[in-house]
Amino acid sequence: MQKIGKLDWLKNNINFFEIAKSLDELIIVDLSTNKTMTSDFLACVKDIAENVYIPITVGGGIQSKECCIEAFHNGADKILINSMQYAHPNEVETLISTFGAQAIMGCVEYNIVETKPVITHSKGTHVTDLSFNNAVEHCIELGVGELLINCISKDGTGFGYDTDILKEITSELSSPIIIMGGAGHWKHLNDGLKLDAVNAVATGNLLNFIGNSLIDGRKYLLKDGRNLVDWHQVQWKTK
Amino acid sequence: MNVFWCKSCLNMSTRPRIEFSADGVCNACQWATQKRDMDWSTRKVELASLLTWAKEKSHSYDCVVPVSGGKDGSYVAHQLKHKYNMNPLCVTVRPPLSLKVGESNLNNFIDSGYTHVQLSPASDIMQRLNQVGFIEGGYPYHGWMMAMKAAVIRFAFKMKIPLIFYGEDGEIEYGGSTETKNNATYSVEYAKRIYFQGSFDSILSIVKKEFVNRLADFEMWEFPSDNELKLRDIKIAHWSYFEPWDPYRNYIVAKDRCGLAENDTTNEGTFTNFAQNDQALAALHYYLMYLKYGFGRATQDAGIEIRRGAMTREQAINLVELFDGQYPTEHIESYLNYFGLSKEEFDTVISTFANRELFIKNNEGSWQPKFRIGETFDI
Amino acid sequence: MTKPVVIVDYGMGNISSLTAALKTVTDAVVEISADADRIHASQRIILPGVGNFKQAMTNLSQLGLVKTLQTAVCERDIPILGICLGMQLLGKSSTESGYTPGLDLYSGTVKKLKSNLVKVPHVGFNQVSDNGTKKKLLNGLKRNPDFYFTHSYRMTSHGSDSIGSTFYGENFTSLIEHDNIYGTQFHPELSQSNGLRLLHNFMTLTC
Repeated sequence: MQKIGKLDWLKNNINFFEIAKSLDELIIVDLSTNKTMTSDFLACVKDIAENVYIPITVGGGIQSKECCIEAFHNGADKILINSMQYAHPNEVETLISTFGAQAIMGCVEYNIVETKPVITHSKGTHVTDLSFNNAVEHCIELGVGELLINCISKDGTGFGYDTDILKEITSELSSPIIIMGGAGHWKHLNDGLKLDAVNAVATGNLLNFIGNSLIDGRKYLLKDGRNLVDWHQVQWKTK
Repeated sequence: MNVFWCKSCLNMSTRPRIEFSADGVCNACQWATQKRDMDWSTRKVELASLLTWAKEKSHSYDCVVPVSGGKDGSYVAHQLKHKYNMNPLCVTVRPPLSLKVGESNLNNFIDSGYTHVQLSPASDIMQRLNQVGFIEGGYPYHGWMMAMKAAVIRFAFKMKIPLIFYGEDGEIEYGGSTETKNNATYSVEYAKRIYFQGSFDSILSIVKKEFVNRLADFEMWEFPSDNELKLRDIKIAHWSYFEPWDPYRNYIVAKDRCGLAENDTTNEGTFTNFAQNDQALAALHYYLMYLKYGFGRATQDAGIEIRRGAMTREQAINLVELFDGQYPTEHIESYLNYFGLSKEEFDTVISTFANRELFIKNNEGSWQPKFRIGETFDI
Repeated sequence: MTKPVVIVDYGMGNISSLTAALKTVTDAVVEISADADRIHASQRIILPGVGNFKQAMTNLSQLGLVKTLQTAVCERDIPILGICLGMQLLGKSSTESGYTPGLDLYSGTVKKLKSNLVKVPHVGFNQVSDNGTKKKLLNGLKRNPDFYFTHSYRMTSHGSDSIGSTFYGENFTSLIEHDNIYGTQFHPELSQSNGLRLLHNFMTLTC
């Protein structure tokens, strides 16, 4: 993980809002250690939400309904939860009945330790003894609308997604699956999308996709037959 | 004359001693392909017999590994100790302008289970060598680099430890002379010629004249001669000869096994945060390299990423355009203090090294490239 | 001075995304209001909506907005765009949390998506077919454009000329265009360039 700069840097140096035109959705996670969902963070979310026209999922230390409401007020369309599902599963169910399953995305986060997945939460600091399959089932049973599967050990490596992990899932999955962790270039995104079990691919590897990398990457994916919308086909007029 | 880029990575034809195939692929990329395809077993056997030889020759420590607490030395030490059951003595030459992240990494490395010695050459002499290196050659940590070779080799020589393992042969791995490609070990003569551009002795003699009563302190910068090394049978090797060198793998192992931590923020002049965090002069060194040759740290790091398959050349161009050649502002005060220069004097020194065929000074006084990355041009 | 476009504020809906998207495609002032005068003075009305139909109708009633909107649409002929729950509210009724009448501005009824073949709620990008009749809202878009859906209830209506449909386990009404009444089950403000084009189309309708 590296701090690359403030939101202004993202806007000015890498023209993030332009790059965002080649995305389908955005997930914004607060990785601060001491406190999360601060007003600074929410201000960033708001700024981004006003400048991108895709669904935004916000997460990182979500613990309560009030957190969710704050996030929604600042432009979030969906909420990402992780540690809450272990600490307060009933609260997660309350969030789902209050805001709707479509508004709550669950996260199964894991490290690979000696070739085996170890389920973690709280930004990788807490370890559970759940098996991967159990963690997935547990999350889905709570009723979340979508499931994000995030491999922390592969994060930033550019080695590609851990597609082997999907073999660990034994149950018929009723939630759409998003995989994350390890993508370095468009070929990794392509490999991920080609899998039947995968509905979406995510990457936090911002630096690998600056400039034309994402727009070109998306073109390659479309050319290779992935079921994606070609957002650049339509002319829409700005004032 | 044409200036062009490798078709596979972003190495520039301006890089000293670089070679290109008929297809325009640089020798670093060619080597990367060879590394993947070749049979390493012969070299593994060479390593095994070298290690056996070293063990037989020594009483306690059987090899010296220069380390900084960073990923490469830590990886090599780790392999020698845990995979090959050797007894490495790890040696650091104290860097000028050391950084907290680096110091912490070195401590973590030592605590992860290694015997370690720090060599601290006289800092006033080192400062003067660095200063002369900076002003005369645009090499701001030349004195330190010299000690990292000379002091370490002299130390091994004195301790009668027969084998020294440096990390990678940068010439082979990153695009340079392929002279040592098939050599397991190398000589002091080679080091002086290639690593110090032949200026080792001249810079040393300039500074020696200024420290007339301190000749004993110059021992840290005196290589044993190749003859002396031969007599005591000390061998200098690069680990990268025996095993495919992979900086990213080194980082993962060092992080996992030796307590390596990254820098919080991106390092200046590049897009990574996990390398060369031990001292502040790196950013200045890379900026000067950029002005001399047209490529900086981001280009170098991009090459590593491309060769390990984590990034395409097109993606890398974006990163190099964004990060390469950043004027080193983060530690500028430290540099001015260390070299005893005003900002104007400092910038004047730097300007002497800007290749005017590659760069032009703009109205604000900063050097701008005349070229676009990846686009062949004539000089 | 051009009249404003008013986004109806009745306490339900992700208004900030919508506002931002609108501001990108129009020079008109974008107001967020529940005031009858402001709504009646507008050039366009947008009825957003995220949440429960019953709760929404309760809020609208309490704010006096039912009459306001009916007057604005039927007597003043102001074009209205209902988005997501907002589109559903334009219809006759919904069975969400029990039978609740809607604004009755359009002859569609709302029931839950059939969940025997697909997972409900319907979340994600899906295509909208114009059923063979050109739709003003879809002007300039390729055939069967994608938009972002997130809902559990859907409208079914008669009169295929006025509707766009989407398939999710079943065909349902995802777009309506009838006189000055427009609606999208999907979220144009979350549908990238397609959605922005649609909002642009709504703002530049020649009525």
